[in-house]
Amino acid sequence: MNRSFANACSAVLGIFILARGAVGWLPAGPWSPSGYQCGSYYLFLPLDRTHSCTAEAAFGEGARVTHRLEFAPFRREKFTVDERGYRNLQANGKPRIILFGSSFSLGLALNDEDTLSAQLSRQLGYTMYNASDVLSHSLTSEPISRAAKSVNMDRGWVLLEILNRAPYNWAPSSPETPRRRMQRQLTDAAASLQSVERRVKNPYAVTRVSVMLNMHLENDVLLPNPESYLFPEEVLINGRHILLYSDDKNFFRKPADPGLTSEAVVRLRDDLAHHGLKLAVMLLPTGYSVYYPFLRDLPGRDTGGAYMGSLQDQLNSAGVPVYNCLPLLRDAAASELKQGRLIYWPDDAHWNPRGVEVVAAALAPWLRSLTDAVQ
Amino acid sequence: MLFNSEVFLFLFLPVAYWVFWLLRARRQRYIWLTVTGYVFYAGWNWKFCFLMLFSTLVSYTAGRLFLLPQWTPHQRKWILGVPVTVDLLLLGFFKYADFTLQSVSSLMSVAGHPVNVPHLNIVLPIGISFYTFHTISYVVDSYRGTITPTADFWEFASYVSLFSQLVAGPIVRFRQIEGDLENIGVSKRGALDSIGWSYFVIGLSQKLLIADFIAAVIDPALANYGQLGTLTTWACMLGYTYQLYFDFAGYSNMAVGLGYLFGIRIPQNFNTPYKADGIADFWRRWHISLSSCLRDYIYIPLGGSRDGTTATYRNLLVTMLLGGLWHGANWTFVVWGAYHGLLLCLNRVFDDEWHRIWRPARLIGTFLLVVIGWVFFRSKDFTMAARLLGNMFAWAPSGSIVASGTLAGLLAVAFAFAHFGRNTFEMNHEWSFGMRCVWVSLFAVCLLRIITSNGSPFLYFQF
Repeated sequence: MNRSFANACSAVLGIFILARGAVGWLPAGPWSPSGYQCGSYYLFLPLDRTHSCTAEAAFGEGARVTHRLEFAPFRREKFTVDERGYRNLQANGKPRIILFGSSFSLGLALNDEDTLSAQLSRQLGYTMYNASDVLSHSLTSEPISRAAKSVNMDRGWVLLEILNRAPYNWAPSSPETPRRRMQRQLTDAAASLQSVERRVKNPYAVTRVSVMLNMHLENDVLLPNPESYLFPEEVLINGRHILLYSDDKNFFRKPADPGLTSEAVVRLRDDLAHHGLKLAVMLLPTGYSVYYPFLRDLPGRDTGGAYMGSLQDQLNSAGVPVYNCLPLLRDAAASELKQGRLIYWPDDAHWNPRGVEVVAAALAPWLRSLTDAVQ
Repeated sequence: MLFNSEVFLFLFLPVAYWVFWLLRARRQRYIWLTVTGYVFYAGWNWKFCFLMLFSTLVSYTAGRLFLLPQWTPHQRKWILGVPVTVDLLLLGFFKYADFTLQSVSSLMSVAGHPVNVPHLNIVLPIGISFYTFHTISYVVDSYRGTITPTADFWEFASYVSLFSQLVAGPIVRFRQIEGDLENIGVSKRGALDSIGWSYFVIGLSQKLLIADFIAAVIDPALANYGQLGTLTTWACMLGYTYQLYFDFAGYSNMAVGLGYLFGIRIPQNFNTPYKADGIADFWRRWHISLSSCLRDYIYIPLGGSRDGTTATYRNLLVTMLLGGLWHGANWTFVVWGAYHGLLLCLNRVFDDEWHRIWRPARLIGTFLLVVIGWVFFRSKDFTMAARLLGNMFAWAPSGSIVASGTLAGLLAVAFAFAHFGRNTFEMNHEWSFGMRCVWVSLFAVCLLRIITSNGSPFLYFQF
């Protein structure tokens, strides 16, 4: 057999390698992600330091994975990362509070000005530094104290967001031995390599082609959508349809042990104290927890709500300042529902600017009292 | 690392290929094949490379010892027994320890003496079932004198870690590729490339364009098997029957193709098994490398058919039970093996009567028996198996399957290829210009699919 077939196959492979490599190393800028979240973009491909991305018609992850764009209230989203890789606008003086939490605190699906840290900074009159890192799932003092050090904050408050979805590793932290330090350095080195790898593997242009192709292929006619189970559709008592994240529902039905969570938080408080930092906790409910009482088909008991109440009691008894946002957000959800509005996105797991506004308004005086006391 | 992944196709394969052919000396090529094999394996979990290295060292040492003339038969048995035991212990620990503990715990509970058995959560090293078979077959064949053990460590290491057959077979025995390995220093680049690409592209198309699309439809349906009816259960099980074949045969074809690209001819693993007209015939066509290993290393040493009828049936059953267990640490696999063992026994009892039946009826009957067997293979537990079998043989109103039209189309295509098409070893791989265009286009479609999807593992990785 002559080599023409092998040559043709090699040529096809070569063209794909070249095209793939070229796309992978294109700068992020030209690939303006209109119609797609900058936040997701950030997860796929960490933005360069001090980078900004704008999506003119962004929509939520729920709408994307279920291919239900009819749920998407398209919105403008600007996503800015500062020189340290955290999501912050220009700092107004030395920060007095560091915010550390999940994608809710990071502000996924929100415009820069609408994030919790941005709204609280405006209301407090001083900077709340957003050090939320959704890729970090451990609850140790190290990343928090490192962030505090990077912004020259040698004392002050840490506002820790605990979402009732258990994203954290609750293992107790232990002193850093030379071996652990080496492991951490190796992990950091691997992480920086991974960011290069992610640049190659998940460049946004390819992701977009992939999303478009799969939206047409996995449309529940040609092929089933394998991810639609992630955001099942629920109906609220006013007849409004909403996509709620399945992990939130699962956690709500079978929450973690609040005792373990509170023990870990107390450990963290003690560790942070060695760095001159005080800890306050904000218990934040997921969309499912907030809208649970307003579901048309109310399933089971309010176990998720009970978890947050119990965690609040335990943290209070341990002397950790804690704010449970669940009652506040449920009240707000009820009054907004009467006007046909939501405080979480109907097409995403996260809260919308109105939800953040409600929490920021309540948290600001509480935080002010804490920080004023320390002054 | 998957054959159908970007990192394999766009980085690993081109580098492995070009460096291999840049090297001239036989030893250099052995070393390079070994290095690529370990890099390929490390793509999943580098820590388990040490396990493979250990297994390789033990078997190589045994082979070297067999080369020495001074051993008594008793001592030779020890040289055989130690490495085989070590390999089986490794396989047993990593694959079956948790299963055994949990089975003992369940048994004790049933007996009214519940015991608290810890779950060890042992990570199963990918491909351990395959490479331990490689090393065991090497040691046994060396003991039997079927092969002359190699004195070159790198030759043996490259055989064990040959990436094309490392994690999902075929189970290539040393004697089957010994000649090509010996001549690896004189093989010329390009001599077999077109054949290799032909096998590879066909295999990739089987995997991505048939098996994966069928899986995309039936997996969500089988995840909710409680809602399936009779027709939809049959549709899913027929889908799974073809998915499994095109997935595994596709992988085997890719392995053969990759072997050709490196000058190594890997033997046939599938001979259009759904064309079988009896269960014994099916096992001569399905996963040939495994069934021949089971025959040579279990069935025949047990006595084969030499010790009378009862012993033959016992040997068949034991062999197939172990074959079932080899596929996975789950009782459903054991039952699947027992089912096939029983069918093989019945095949021997009623062989004459069976062959008096009209051939198309035999083909259909064999196929249906195989489909029924796949129910146990696919089910995660007996509840699922019982429900699926109940649906298949007692009428249940059908729930719908999402994308059922696509499934019908895929089943028609798969049916045509599996029952009427030629397998890759029956093709001469001399393609006309038109067919070359077809295959190259399909290759491009596959590459586009790889780039735009997350990739799906081969079903046989779990074994």
